[in-house]
Amino acid sequence: MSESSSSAVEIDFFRLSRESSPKKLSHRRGTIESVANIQGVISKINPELLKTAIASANTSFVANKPVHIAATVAPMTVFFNGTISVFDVTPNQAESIMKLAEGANSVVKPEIQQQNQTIGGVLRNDLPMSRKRSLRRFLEKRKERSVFDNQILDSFKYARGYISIRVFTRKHILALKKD
Amino acid sequence: MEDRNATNHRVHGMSDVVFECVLAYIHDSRDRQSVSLVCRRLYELESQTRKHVTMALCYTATPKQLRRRFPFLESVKLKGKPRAAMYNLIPEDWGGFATPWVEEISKSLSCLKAVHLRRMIVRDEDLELLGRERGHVLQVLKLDKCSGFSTDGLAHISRSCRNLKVLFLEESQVIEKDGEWLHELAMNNTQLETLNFYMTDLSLVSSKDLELIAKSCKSLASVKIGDCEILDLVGFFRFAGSLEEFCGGCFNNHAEHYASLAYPKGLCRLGLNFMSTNEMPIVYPFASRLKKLDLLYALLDTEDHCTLLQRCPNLEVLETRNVIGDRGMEVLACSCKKLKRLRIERGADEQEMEDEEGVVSQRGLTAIAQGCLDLEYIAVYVSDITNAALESMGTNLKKLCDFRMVLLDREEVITDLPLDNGIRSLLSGCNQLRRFALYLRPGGLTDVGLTYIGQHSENIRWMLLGYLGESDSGLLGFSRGCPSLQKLEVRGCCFSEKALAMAVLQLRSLRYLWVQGYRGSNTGFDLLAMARPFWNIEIIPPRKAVSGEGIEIEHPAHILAYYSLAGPRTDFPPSVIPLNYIAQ
Repeated sequence: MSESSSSAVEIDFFRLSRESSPKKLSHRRGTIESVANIQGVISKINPELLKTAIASANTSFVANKPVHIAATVAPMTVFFNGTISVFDVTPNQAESIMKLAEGANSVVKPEIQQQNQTIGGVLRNDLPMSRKRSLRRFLEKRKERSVFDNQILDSFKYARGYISIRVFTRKHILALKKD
Repeated sequence: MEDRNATNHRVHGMSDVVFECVLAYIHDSRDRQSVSLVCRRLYELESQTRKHVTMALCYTATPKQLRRRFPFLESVKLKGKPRAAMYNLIPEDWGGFATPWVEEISKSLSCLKAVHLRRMIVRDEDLELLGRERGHVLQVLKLDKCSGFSTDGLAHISRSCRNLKVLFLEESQVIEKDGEWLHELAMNNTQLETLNFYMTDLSLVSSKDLELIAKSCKSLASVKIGDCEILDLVGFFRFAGSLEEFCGGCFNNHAEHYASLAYPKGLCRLGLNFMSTNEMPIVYPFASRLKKLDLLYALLDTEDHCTLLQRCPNLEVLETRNVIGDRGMEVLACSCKKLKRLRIERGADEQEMEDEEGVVSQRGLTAIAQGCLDLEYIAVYVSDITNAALESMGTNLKKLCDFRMVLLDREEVITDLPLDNGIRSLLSGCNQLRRFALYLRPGGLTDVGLTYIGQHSENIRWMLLGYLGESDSGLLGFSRGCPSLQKLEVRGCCFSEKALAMAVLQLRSLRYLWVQGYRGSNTGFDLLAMARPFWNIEIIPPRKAVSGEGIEIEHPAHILAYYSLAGPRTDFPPSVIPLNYIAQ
């Protein structure tokens, strides 16, 4: 297992190595801190990481953010170790890359970590309360029936005579009582 | 059938035969375990006379080991996936495959009459094999929250198991191709006592087949079905003279049509799905007879609950959603003094879908604590809570064996947190507690409170800790106690790998651990501090999945660790990683 020195931390930000080689137990340590001097920070990142991070930035972000607001793409120039590379990235991607670079060299503060995502650890607030499958299924069915019945209600609003429909939201029971 | 030696063995001066006779009356597995430790002869006798085994996790021993130890088993219960699978947290292909077990059963466990598989993956081929080899003796088949099979597999069972008394499929995910399986059951079976395909979404079943089953099976006592129109069941109800329990159905017509429906005289356990205010009066004629009421899938509001529950003085079991509200809980406490089990599930999150009165808080809990003194089981989703309510429960509910409470995350501010003192009072008062689940939020319970739990849980065997404690010292305080804790589930807590490993080593009865959400170490190997012989450690790495609600969510990693005589699993799917593999 690779362990790195303090200046170049192996970070699997996009969890790429998880699929290919489970042996590599890498983790991401990030803190929400203000973005510092971009060049100074990027110069300290492991080159491999930087390459993979930027290369996958396009695909990963599309997968991660379904509500993707189309933003203008602009060139991002990276000076690293004597080489110059230019990438077309969106502002979101650029910010993430900068945060990544920032995280690579920051001091870890365990107490106030807000995005502590190691191979296992995700801080408590990120775990949504999940529902039992059978109940979830029932609530879905009920919603479907409610939508359907609302549609019928709307179309029979002014009809007279006997109506055989299911009404089960209080709102609608009260509405019928008023008629 | 038993292999008896010609020579008359003597154990402690008494003949074998004496012990064999006595052992036949000892059923509790813990008692039998004690017997088997006395001496070799008693070990052998116990093994030969053991009728039932429950394996809390099917990977703790191999099928061959089970068969060698208990060759004359008549009933077996196997559990596969972690409990979290019921909440969609475990990858579908995680494991718990029934195949190796069915193969062993078919080959050598010739006395087996009852098979109960829970949260396992079962294939049609498994059902076919089971039906072919054991069909003539099989009396009980329970595929409980299982998946992987279709109605074709069920048809094999219906055709081959003519002596089947119990067919239980509740909450299983069955691939539905047709309703043949029920038709075959109706044609071939006269022994059926329990038929359950509740919550399976099996809809191609014919009410005529149900009617035929009711006619042919004179001992039919419990039937739980899917969404079949109630009016189509008139014939079924007419013929099911022995029926005591019915759940399922639905109401698609106007309430008037249901008024004249006749129900079997012995019906005392009921759950009518999609029943709303208008249809509720159907239940009134026999409400006073009701011992169990399932309103989880009904469409009643708080007022309806109050109206109905008032009429059920003999109620022993109630399951419903939190739409019952505090007011409904108060009515329950006044009217249902015989209540033994109460389960209050979480209703819809959207306000317009549920009654605005539909929240349960300390007010409802206190009423129940003071009114239902026979309560043995309570599981409740609360929107608010106080220490006083928990103290009241500790003072009054002396028969409580199973306590589960989840604090919903809708309200920003909770009246009275942390719950340290209330929980301590609850645990010291309810000293018969065997199972305990507490799911709060950050700030809900301090490290001191978590230590209290450890100190006051003498008899508790299973625990779920959700969002409890503040730091590792809480977990370490906790793990110094809990002398009987066998199975521990932890979710959303902030404990480090190191603390988890240390806790495992301190909890002397622990044989199963499940964790989701923890502070990983730099190397990811701190967890190995708990490595020891016969202790399997598995990781389910973080993954993205579409939740039941259709949103893509990130699943954090899980740790699963358990004692096993079988060594590491040999059937890992890609989504599960054994920790010893990583260590290489």
